[in-house]
Amino acid sequence: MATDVARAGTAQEGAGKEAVKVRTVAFEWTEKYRPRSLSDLIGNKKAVDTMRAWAQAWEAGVPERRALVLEGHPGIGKTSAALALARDMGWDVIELNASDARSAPVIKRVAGQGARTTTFSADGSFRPHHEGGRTLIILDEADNLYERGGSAASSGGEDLSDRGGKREIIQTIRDTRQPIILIVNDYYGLTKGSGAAIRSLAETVKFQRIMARSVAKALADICKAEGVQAHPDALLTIAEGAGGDMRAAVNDLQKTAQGLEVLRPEDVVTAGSRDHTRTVFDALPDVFKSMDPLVARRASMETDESPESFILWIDENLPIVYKDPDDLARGFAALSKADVYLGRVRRRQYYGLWSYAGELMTAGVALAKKRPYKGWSRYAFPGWLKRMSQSKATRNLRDSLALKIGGHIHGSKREARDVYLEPIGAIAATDDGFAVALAVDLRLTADELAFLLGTRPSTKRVVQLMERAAEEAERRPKESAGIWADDETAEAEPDDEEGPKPEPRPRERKAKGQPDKKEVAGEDEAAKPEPKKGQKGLFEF
Amino acid sequence: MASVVANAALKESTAMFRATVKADVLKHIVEATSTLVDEAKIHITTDGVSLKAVDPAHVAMVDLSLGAKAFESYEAGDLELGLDLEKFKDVLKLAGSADTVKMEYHKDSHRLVMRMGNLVRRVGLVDTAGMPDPKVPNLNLPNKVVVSAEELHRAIKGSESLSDHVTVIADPEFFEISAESDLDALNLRLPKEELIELEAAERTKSMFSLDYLSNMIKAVRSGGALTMHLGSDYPVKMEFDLADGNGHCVYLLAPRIETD
Repeated sequence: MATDVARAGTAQEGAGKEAVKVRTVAFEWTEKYRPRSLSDLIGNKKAVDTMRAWAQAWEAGVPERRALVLEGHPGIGKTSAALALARDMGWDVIELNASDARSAPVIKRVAGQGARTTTFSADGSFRPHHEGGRTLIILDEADNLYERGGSAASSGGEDLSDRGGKREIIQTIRDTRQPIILIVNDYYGLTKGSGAAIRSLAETVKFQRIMARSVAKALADICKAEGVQAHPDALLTIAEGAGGDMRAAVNDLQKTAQGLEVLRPEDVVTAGSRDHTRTVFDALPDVFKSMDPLVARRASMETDESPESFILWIDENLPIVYKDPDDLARGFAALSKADVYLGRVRRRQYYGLWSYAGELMTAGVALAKKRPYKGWSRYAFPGWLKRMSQSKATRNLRDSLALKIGGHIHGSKREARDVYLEPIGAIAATDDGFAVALAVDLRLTADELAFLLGTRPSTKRVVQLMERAAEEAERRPKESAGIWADDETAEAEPDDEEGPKPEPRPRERKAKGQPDKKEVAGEDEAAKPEPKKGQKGLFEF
Repeated sequence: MASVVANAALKESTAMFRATVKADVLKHIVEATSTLVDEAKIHITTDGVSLKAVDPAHVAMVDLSLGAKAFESYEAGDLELGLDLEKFKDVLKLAGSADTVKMEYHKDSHRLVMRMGNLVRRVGLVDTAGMPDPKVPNLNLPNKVVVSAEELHRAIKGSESLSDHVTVIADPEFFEISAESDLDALNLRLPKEELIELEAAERTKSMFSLDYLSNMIKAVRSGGALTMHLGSDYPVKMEFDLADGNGHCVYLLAPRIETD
């Protein structure tokens, strides 16, 4: 029998009413046993009650909060709950899920129209709004609606897709005469930035992971319906392996139990537990507390952290855990070797070296201690990341200044920063005429000038200098400004300090020795690479 | 799933389609359908072709049929073809309105081969498995208005700069379309004698989205007449003929919810 287990995943998460019927025939248990009514839903009673109350309010008219945000981990019943609610209430459903292109125009066309219009239901009936006909608009995975690809053509250049998408959602919620449910894994992803208004417009319903016992009970019901005699221990093992993810549990059950008459505990072992991604806080004890190199090595592999950010965590927390000075010295020795490899990864853009860095920073650090450390430790967030985040604005200012000076002296940005920035600042601080000429020639902003002079842009002196510079610029013939007209394009280039990827000149780098190391060490005490670009979201600096 | 496979096997013996038709007729069909959906499932029988579609927001439906007489030549068995309408539109741009298009379904390559003069265009077809089969609701709509598309077109065009919806009233004495913004208002009132036909026992009023209505009325084409069936806060059913009366198109459009 061809089971379609492989198709399980996001595609089926947002199955519409019609689709449910088709997929039931396709033998997917997650669809076949998807709860038809809210009362069939496993767990999350509180969330279900909130949803019901909200739906009741819609029966009476348009409630104050016109939208719900269902928030929670994947596979714990958010989409099922939304579909079941619509079924319980006799509402039609229109859905926008991850497989649809969901740029701002599409959201407007589908959700926006559906929100202010009565709709035809799938079974070919029509119920007017004043007779209680409602359409539930479901925006599934609303926290990652706005991938750039789809609307790049329409938004022309600037990244309007993201803000446009959120704005369209907010507008739709404001205008809607129909109930709307947004489904997210990451509430912050939806409500940050331009999505802030959603916080006050929509009521949030949190879905919790489902207790293994409740999952096991639901699995038992499925086994009964499928005619499989299941041992309770077997079901509990599957349930625990799924980690509160109902869909994962049902998929695992189908993989193991389909076609069996009796499901025994030993049948389950082969299915194994799911590969959970663990947080860095789960991984650190494996490195610091264990003496087993394999355990320590596994720690980094099971987190989402790249070696470049994981090394920061180890670096920060090594002195917290390792109290013996010899252990600490050996630990940092291993870590510094790992860092050498990370530096080579950046310079050569050869990510194969990551594995050596990974082994040294995990197994190497784990084996640095003479005996294991016991007990619980309070792990600290990498201070380097914190400082880099706090100093980001200043560093950007310094770099844009250095770029302008570098352009003027036909030198590199780094040379300007390391050699010229300070003396130029010192001269400008004592010579107003020089400062004004500088501001005109380099088209300095007030912020940049203030940075150069070591004051704030709001000080009287900076304001006056900027005014004089503006007058001076007026008087000058136009072409003298034209020389630096390409400054803008130079600024748009990726900043080589930001990460390993936009590294355009590996050869030049090598010839100069190890500029990376020197540079990083020079500006902050520790020689640490900044994390990869993609990692940024984690720390938000 | 299994039944679909079985059906396909049954139909295989008769699955053929070969027809010649004016490019203009095809263009008209695609125009009328592509305002609502990007892809459509065409049902082909010995008597002609038809399609039903509902837009993604479930706000509008189209039910369109074209009899075998609308074609210059027509030979077909039972068949279902999935068309990417945007692509089909582009293909039809290759033909002038007066040209004829020869179409033939190639089962082995699952393509529709279109010949326009000496130009041959093979059109890949879309899988119809995921496409919905919308059921067209039976609506009880008391009033009937037949009006020239040109008059409507003018009113709709004028309304678009004011609002995103219009109010449509059918009265025993007249038919009216109006739109208003904070400052401005537009109103088209056609008395009974200026309408082609008006059967209204009672006054009815509904509001409709201009986005949809405008495109639907455009599809009637100038010179044509449009029949509208109306109720109060109820969908409108609009009908018009295609291909010199050998085809027929029905639109359903759900009403806007009145803001109270």
